Amino acid sequence: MPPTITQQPSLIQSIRPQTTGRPGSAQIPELASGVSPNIPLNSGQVRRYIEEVKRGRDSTQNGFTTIPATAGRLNPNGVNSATPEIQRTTLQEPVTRVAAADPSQVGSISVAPGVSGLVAVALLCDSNSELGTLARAAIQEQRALSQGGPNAA
Amino acid sequence: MPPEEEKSALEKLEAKLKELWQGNGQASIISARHTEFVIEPKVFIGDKLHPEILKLLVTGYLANAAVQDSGCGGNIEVTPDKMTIKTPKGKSAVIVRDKQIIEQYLAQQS
Repeated sequence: MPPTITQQPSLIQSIRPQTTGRPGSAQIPELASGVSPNIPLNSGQVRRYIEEVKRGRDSTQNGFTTIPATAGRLNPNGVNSATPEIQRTTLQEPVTRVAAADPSQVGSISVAPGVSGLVAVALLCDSNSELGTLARAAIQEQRALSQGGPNAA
Repeated sequence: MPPEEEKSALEKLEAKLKELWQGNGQASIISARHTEFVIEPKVFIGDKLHPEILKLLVTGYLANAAVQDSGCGGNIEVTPDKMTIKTPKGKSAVIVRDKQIIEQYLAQQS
């Protein structure tokens, strides 16, 4: 008797997070149709696996294949629909990575000795632009701070 | 992170320079499967400006510089080896020894 869809849940339940091994990964039985064990499956292969399961060709006895968490989750219809969202993480560049330019070195661009970076920004940016305005305001702020003025924190 | 209105002018300036840096394709992005790591530049190191941001600002400045900016009385002094951008008071502020930038500037002026 051919397998019916109602048999699916028990087979799909075999796709569950591993209790050991790589966190966030899941295991499914290896496909009968040529997927080697321990090779991560992509979404197409997962879909093919579901088709195999629907046709009753489950091959649980042949071992397991790991699906990384990035392959997405399976919805109740057995379709790998969950596209993982890309998270953006911002890291601050380490200061050691930034080498100060030597003004005498060929190929360099540098601020002249005695000129601060803020003054250079104020000079290089149009005074009517947002950057120019902010640079001038920052210079005023720094002066007020160094003089212990009313804006000093 | 403080709200936008509580930020100092310096913090706002740093944020804008980082935007400029990223907008010009200078940002280092490490792409992993689920995460992208964006390495932000440290804009000011002490009172010095990050060399790459300085380069970005200088090239932008020179691209918009007019012919009268260089030469006698102008604020850009240029020789084939060295270019100096001066403050309005005539003091040297930025020294450029990048031949490619100098050549590009001279070609633009001719």
